[in-house]
Amino acid sequence: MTETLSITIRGQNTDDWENIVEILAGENVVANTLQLPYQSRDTIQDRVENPPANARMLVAEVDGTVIGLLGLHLHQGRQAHATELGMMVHPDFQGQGVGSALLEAAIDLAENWLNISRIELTVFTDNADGVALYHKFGFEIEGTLHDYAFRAGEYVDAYLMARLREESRT
Amino acid sequence: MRLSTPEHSKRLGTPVNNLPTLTIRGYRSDDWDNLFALLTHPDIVRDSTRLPYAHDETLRDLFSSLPANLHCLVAETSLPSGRTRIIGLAELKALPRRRRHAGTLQQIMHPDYHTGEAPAALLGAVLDLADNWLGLRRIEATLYVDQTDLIAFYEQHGFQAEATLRRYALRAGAYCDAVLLARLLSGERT
Repeated sequence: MTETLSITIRGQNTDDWENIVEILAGENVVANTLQLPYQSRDTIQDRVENPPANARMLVAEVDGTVIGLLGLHLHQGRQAHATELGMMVHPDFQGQGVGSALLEAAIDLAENWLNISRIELTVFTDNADGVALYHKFGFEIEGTLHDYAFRAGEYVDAYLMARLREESRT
Repeated sequence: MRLSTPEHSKRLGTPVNNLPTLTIRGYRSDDWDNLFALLTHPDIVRDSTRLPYAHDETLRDLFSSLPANLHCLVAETSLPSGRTRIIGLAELKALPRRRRHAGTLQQIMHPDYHTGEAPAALLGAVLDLADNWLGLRRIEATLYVDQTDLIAFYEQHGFQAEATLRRYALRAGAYCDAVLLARLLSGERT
């Protein structure tokens, strides 16, 4: 697609849940995350309406519809400088800059406002688009986790990737 | 020291009067006072991700109603006086949903018992639970990179280093890297 999307990044609101149900219906969204298929709408609604206290949720909106979602799960205590990131984009809008827009905002929020110096994530090793996107934003592979999760009947490996804030890099 | 694990009758020899006996068993609520002393030992706090100056009731609440996916084993030794002492704790947490074949393991030992048979007996028991009773395929343990003796100990028991986590946690004023080790059921690593 050559047309550039007009993407708005904002905090997640409770009434975004129906759009998020649609995102989670995406086959490759389920495959590339740790989500389960056949989730109840009620479960998803409840999760959107009652996010955990340690989570910061961002959404990407195009023409008034939420088509992407990113969560930061903040660690505590001796790991309060660190957070775990997870994201997903509606299959119809992948490869069009939505992931980049979400990541750019999340890194700004984490590093410049929450004072976080380590952002970590896991990505399945065969998700080449995901790995390339994270590389572009300064995430480095820290290792390969064997048989990390189960997917469509088989065990799959994942990379552990992390981005350190600039002054923390050696 | 004599080893006895009454739950699985893996007793080595017969306990002899006045010889200390090592027992590996499930955590019991009346272990709490003993366990609190272990959990708050400065060396153990340092090498964990827990904070010093712990509030006893907060920690106690955690152990007084263990979630169904959290399995706690203790290593107990009897002293010549006849009293007993908790010298080690292994916590195995089984993960949910698409990671339900996996678990995370944390084992702590009192500094006086880092060597000898106690650490291996406790780890052996928790791995038996994981392999033969929970059917877990993948066990993870995370250690600070400079805990080299302990990393070697885990490697001797089938764990392999998979990742180095930079700036994993703050420890006594400095951010420390950690090693993530994993043990896959033998023969299943491809």
